[in-house]
Amino acid sequence: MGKAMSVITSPFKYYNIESRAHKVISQSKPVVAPKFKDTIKDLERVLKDHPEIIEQAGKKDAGLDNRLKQVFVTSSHEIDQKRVINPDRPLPTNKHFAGFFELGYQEPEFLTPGKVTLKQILQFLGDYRLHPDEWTAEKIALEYKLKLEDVKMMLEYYKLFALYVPEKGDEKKRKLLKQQETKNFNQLLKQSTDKITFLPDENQRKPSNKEYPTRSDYKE
Amino acid sequence: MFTKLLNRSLIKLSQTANYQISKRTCMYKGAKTYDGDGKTSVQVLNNDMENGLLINGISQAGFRLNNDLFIVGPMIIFPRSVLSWNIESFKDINEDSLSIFRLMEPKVDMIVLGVGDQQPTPDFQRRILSFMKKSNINVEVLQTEQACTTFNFLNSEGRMIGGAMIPPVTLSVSEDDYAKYLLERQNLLSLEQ
Repeated sequence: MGKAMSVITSPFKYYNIESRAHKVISQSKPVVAPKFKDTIKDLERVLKDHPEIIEQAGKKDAGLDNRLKQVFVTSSHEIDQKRVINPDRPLPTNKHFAGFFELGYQEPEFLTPGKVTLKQILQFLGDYRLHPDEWTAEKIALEYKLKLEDVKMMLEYYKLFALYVPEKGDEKKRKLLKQQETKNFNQLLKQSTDKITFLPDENQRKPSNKEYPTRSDYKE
Repeated sequence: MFTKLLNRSLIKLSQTANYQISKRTCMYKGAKTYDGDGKTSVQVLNNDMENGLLINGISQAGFRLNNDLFIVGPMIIFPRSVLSWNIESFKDINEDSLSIFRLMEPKVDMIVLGVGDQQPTPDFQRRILSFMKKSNINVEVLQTEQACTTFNFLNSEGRMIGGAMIPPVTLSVSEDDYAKYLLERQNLLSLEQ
């Protein structure tokens, strides 16, 4: 029923709505909505009983004003203005944006044996591609402290891309790509192995064994 | 011949590009997302190089990245680096071929796995999740097309994220895609001849 009624009445409801709305908006002073009958009755009754109320409302009450002047808000809670700064862990003083990381994330300072960083992966995959005889899986496993089977898996499944620049095409783009190609190649050759320190496993570490620096050594 | 085929299959170029409505000044105020007519601007994520590597298009041969390079074959993609993934099909996706995520430090927040054009079966998902749970890495198994868009969004948010994608065997190309492709090559009019 509701749906059917609204279908019938809505065209009339919205007839000429735009101009009617503009008419209402364009009035300089909005028309006050009429009061309810009960409200008017109440107002009349109050005015009849207390006719002085209109005068009172317009005047300033000195008593109330004085009382308001005597009100103050105080707080007993003390705010410690000084921030406690731990000298061992000082807050950074330079708040400027440090720039993007090379690979999109921060390289770790410590590395668990058996794990590699992405940078190292790119490094040994590049080494393997350039000199597969020299950089065997065994050597890589020894160098990066990885399991031999893991290295073999990595060398099998992941490869570096070779960049191919098409002979035809946009000259500017081609030049840029060529530059990138030589730059990448030189970088690959220049890069020495990462200077990341290895952190021994907490369970396996012996107290006398000081082969790798530990977290506490690093702090000193 | 090959290049022609390649070109034709590169039609998806602009479909995977993501659009995000954002207000430039909003970056500093961080209050509103919409500020009335004429004050909002559309920012195409894939045009900003500072978002890292994003995937602009896919084809049967590989992927087009936002730095205009075309990647041939399956790939492992990180925020700013790409590796070739030496597998034949989605059948080769297993614990061994995803070992890079297990061995990497810092660990990736999430892997987006694009398995090509077939729907990933619940069995397959369960298998992947079971061994990824061991190394405590979240995986999202999707079709490659959806995986690319998911990767783009997550990467532009600045997350440490890994993607493993296989190019789809078949591509559903709509007329819209084809027109966009031709527009990109600036010979839309030749379509009408």
